[in-house]
Amino acid sequence: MRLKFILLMLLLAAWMPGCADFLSLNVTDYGATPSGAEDDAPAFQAAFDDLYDAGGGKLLVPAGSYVFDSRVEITGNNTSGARKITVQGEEGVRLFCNNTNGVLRFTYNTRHQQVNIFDLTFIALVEGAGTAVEITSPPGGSQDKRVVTIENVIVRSQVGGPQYFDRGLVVTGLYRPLIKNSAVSYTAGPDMSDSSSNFLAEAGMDVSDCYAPVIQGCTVRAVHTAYKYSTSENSQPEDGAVLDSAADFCRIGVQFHQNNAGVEPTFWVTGCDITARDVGVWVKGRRICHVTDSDFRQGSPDHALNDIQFDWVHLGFVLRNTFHGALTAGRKNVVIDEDGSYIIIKGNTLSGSSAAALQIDPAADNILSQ
Amino acid sequence: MKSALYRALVLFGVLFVPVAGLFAFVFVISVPPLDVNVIDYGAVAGDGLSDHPAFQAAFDAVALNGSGTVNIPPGTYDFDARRTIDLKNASVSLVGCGKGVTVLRCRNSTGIWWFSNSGDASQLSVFDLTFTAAASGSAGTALQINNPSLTSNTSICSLHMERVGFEPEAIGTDFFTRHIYTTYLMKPVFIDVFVTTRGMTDSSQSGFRINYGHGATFENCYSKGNSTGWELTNSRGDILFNRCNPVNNDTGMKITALAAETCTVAVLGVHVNTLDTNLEIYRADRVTIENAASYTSATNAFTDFYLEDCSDVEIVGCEFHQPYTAIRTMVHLAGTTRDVLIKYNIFNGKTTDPNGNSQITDVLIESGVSNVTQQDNLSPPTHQW
Repeated sequence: MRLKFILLMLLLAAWMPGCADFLSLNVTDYGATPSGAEDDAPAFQAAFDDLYDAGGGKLLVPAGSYVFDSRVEITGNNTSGARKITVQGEEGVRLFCNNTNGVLRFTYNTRHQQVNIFDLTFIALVEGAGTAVEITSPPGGSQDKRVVTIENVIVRSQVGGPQYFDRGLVVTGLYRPLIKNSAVSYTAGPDMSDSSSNFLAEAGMDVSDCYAPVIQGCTVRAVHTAYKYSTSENSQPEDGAVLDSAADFCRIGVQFHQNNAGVEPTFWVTGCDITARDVGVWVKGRRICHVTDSDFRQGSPDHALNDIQFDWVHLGFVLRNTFHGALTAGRKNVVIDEDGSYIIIKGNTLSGSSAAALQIDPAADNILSQ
Repeated sequence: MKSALYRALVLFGVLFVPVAGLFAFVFVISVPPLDVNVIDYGAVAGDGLSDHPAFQAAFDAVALNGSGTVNIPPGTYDFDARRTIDLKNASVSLVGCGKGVTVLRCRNSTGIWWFSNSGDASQLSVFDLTFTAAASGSAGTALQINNPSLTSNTSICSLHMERVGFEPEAIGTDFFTRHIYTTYLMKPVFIDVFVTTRGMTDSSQSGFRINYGHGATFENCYSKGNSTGWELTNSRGDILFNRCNPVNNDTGMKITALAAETCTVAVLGVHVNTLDTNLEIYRADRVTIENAASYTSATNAFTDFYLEDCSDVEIVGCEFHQPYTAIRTMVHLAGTTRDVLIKYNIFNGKTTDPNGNSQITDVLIESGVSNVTQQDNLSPPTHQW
């Protein structure tokens, strides 16, 4: 291993002078062992440090099992240029988290970075394993690149085990992240009470403070809030969508909360299948909001569920959704608060009569409902 | 009595010859795909020297083989000249290591590649890389593909691009005049393809240009700062835009169908914000526009959706937004357009100019248009939020 490393360094030394350009690295060349036997965090850390110093490149993770006794930190604390990094797993890569902080964290101080993560499985070895993957920068104005792509990533417990990550895939403050064909899924049980182990994990996928994030073709299971998109005081995110995605064994399916009451517009939830205990899709503070073509189910027959709840939503659409099951335990299909205006609720298959299934505050204005 | 040897020979003949023949047949007919790395053809990332001969050699090797992959390691590859490549009928994948991580940098004013194919059945896939304009002015046409005709084999996907970006190196100086510029593509697919022209109003003619294509799918794509974000002309087949985003173009998406051919257009969940017309569709047989957010920051006369000579049109669940222009038509039905259903929309484009004047129409129906149904739409009298 040591010889390999020296050879690699020699090769790099021979290659570097002519061109300070991106690297293509294999994490096993840094001493990582795909046997799952020993801590691989130092090897990953060394590889990422070299990628960062070179401005970017690709880290290949060969098939096998890797263990993380600590979290790997990629910290961009300068503004001298963007860092562009791809992490590519071969088929059958399993990253085991044996600590309470998580596995990978990219912390940048500008939004002009690029992180692509493909084909990895993260497995918690402890209960409360931190954040599996976190990519974060301070929020800023609008920009027109997709700087984060996460595809085919799975975050899970051991088979049938009680382990979980507190937060699965977290991308905050960045432009147009796309999380696609990915899953955050833990062991779920029949207990749906507040103290249920189903809700110990805080969030499945969190794209708070991002600009135009897209979550597509994903699944989240046994998490308090499956998909989360919240904004802090000074961020003004436009756009955003949760498409063709599923949530199950959660208290809240999709949560969009904007703290400063809807400065910038548009949010879509389309083609989703959501089984929640408390709220299916909860939008608070947004103008222009589409919740369409989705399926909603009641997560627990003992809990009052609002399938779709709009608080301070102007210009909204609730169209062609199917609400499965009955109006059990005070369930409402659509709830509009007193601040709502110009909202169309049409073409849905409700769980009961419109009068029983829809709860529209009398102070809301220009609501066109079925 | 025949000898054992004789029987063995007969058995050999009966069994082996057809098997050997079949083996030879399979071996000769299906050459395995060729997997090459541009480095092995002389490309060197980041050395400042042009890599266009190396890429051409790699493409030629794979095209000659009939199928295969050209792999590109991380780094920046320079192109000082555009090369013409003939894929014939080969299936070729061009695979980078990630958007932003593998960068093809155009330092000339013509472009990167012109695929001038002598066969109509080639298949090109482009994954995980970025095209950068770096010619201090126009860098030409980033990617041009011309097939001689439309293949009759409808199972072919002539072009598949996924996780690809086009962008300027220096904002306000560098741009591609055309980005993806094609003729006679069968069922091209574009997923997560970003075309960005920034700081150079009207310098770029088009983002995605599909001429004489048969169908097309665009998902999670983006086109900014071009005269036309998407321009599909002489079209036929099924055209789908899912979650696409034209911004700061004069025209967002313009689709013109061939009169004699069947062409359907679906535009789903798009966020459109342009300066003259967000969406123009001509002669489509079936049009579905659903869940759109239609904005404009224009202060001139503006049309959100313009449909001419179309039939079986549904415009459902769309919101028309932003109060900057007082001359606006949100849906304009022209020519012989017929059988139109407009429902569940919010026509929220009302405003007045500084003199208090306003020429704003929710739905403009010209005299040749027939059978238009409007139901359950909202039309706020003043702009909401």
